[in-house]
Amino acid sequence: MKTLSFLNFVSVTNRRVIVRVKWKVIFGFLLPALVGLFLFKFYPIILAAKNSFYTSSFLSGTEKFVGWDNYRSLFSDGIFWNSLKVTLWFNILANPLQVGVAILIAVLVNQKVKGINFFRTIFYLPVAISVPIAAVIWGILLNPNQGFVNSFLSIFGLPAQPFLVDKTQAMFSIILIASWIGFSYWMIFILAALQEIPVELYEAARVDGASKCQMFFRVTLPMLKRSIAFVTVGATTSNFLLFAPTYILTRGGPSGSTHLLMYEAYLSAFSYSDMGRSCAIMMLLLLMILAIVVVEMRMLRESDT
Amino acid sequence: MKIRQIIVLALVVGLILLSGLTMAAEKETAITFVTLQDITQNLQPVVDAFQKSHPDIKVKLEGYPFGQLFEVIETKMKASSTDFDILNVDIPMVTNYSVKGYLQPLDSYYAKKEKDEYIISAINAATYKGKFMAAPLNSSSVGLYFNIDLFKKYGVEPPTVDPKKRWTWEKVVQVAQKMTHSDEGVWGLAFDQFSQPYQMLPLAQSLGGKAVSPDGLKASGYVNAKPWIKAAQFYQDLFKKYKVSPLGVPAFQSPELFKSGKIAILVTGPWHVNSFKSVSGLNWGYAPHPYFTGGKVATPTGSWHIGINKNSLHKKEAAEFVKFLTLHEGNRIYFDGDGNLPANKVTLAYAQKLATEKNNRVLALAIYEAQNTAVARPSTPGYLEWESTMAQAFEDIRNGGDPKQTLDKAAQQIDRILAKYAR
Repeated sequence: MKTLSFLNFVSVTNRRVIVRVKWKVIFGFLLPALVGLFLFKFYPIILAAKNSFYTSSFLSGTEKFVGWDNYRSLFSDGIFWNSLKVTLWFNILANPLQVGVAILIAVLVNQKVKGINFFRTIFYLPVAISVPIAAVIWGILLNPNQGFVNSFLSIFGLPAQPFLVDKTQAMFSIILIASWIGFSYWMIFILAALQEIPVELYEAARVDGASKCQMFFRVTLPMLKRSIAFVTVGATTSNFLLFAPTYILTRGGPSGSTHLLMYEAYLSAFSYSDMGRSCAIMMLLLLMILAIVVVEMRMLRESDT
Repeated sequence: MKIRQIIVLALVVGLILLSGLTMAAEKETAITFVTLQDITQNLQPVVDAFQKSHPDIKVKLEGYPFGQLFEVIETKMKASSTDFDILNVDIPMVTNYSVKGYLQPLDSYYAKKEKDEYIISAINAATYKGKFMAAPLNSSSVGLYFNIDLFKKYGVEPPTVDPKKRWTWEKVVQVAQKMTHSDEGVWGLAFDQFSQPYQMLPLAQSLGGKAVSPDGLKASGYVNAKPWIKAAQFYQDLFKKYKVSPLGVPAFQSPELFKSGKIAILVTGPWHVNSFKSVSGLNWGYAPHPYFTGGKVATPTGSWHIGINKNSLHKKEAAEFVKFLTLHEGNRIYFDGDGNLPANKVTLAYAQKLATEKNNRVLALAIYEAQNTAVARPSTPGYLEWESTMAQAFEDIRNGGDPKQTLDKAAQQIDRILAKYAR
């Protein structure tokens, strides 16, 4: 009440003063969220950055400042380079796959066909299952001996596949499991954006003689650019930080073929009791994600329709 | 307006004061025991008996699966958590936890004659820099369970429980090949703890292999020496060459397969006896742990100890329960349910009597092995790191990784990780 009357008073006078007062109000409302963001996101990142320059000395029971040592030991460690390679490969394959298929499913599910709600529900169901549970279930399905998938393959006379216990197939199995949830999750964002596209644009395109394919590439995709940018950044971040399937199913194996950086960070902290090393890995992951996101945003921002 | 605000404020303050008062009014001390999920049903009778004789202490059991217990403890201790008081300490982890300052030394809670009740090997494993860090709960042994019906079905002579007629690994593989029938989903041989060092170490030890350097800080030259490579190759052959063991079965799952009659020979210990006995129609026998021809007999040993969280706010009450569980009546109640080898001389004598009276061959054999062929796991401050790296290495070898390369990499990795304990 008091604020409003103050605003009313001010609206008659200097325009610059209105802006100042509004900012105070806006800031007041944002403060709780900003505090939360700082406490739970920025502060831990600052702490992790600091921790990455320290190491614990067990003999003296204290923390020792070691400068760049943690990073140096990472760069001279074969396990780190393997994890980096595995993580990059994983993302190169999984990110475009998840974004691409999400767009595809969203377009399919956007059809005004009878019963389309049923399909929307089906495609959204994987999101309702938490990632660890999905990992456990897929682990059972992909079991090399009694798994459902192998039994299914045998109906068609195909040989049983090792999936998660094979050096080559394990990575693809993890991509499959992560993407199974990814498709559904990102589909919803694309679907919402699809439904915002004005129907007139399509009508205009049809009048101009555009085919369905041309309409998709010339009307739909450009209009979806912002939403695709959002989904790409989201998918990149969550794929770079993927942990649950490797922890539950493969523990980084076989032979390190699914040893993602996030898993190495976890091992460093809780199996090797080396918090400094773990934080160093997380800092490197953060830098990588930032760099890639900047590139993605640039690519998707070129022509703003 | 003003009066309403005052009333609301008074209510809020009143509620806060009330909740504070009720908390202070609790005379009972509640202590939490972070433990292994699989043993909570054996711990419950002990808790019940303890609570009857100590009505002012309530014990809450918090059970975790083996694969997660260690990491849960690490996470809680890193946060200096006070939400638990007692924890399970795997015997080879006593040094590690002591170095990291997780455990409260127990000397001040024990009288000398109480400490003397524990078996000497357990006390030695539980002592760090002269201080008694964790009380032994039990010990362990490993042997061969075999499915009598399957042996009859395929016309093979089963092993005997006599340690003098112990089978070699070569003989076990021969028999397992005759017992494996993939069309019926039956496997000849399985380990309870596939790829876990507890059951892999005896393979190497039988060939003369050692786990770490004497100071516990180096693995190169030890885990990648010939005995280990030979043991690893043998392990891999079980899956790839002889095909007598299943791939894709994680550790701790084989006993379930054994119970459903899908495993002919299962390598594990006496703690499954009660569970196997409860399956109607399962005819099983027990035989001694195998060894390699020309090698020595090495059987796994050591089990759980119980420690007190250094940050605990109820150390005195926790010590009461720890002593109840590991000494006197409590330890006997635990043994009755658990069936695993005792680490307490009084309970051990009780077990020995039981073994003879009830002709319990499993127990008798376990006691024999513990006294004659048991080899302890390595003593190193970095046991958790050593164990998790070796478990991963063996799992890789199981899935087709080259034994020498995999063990070389593992040795390098362990050396690097253990270096921090020398700083």
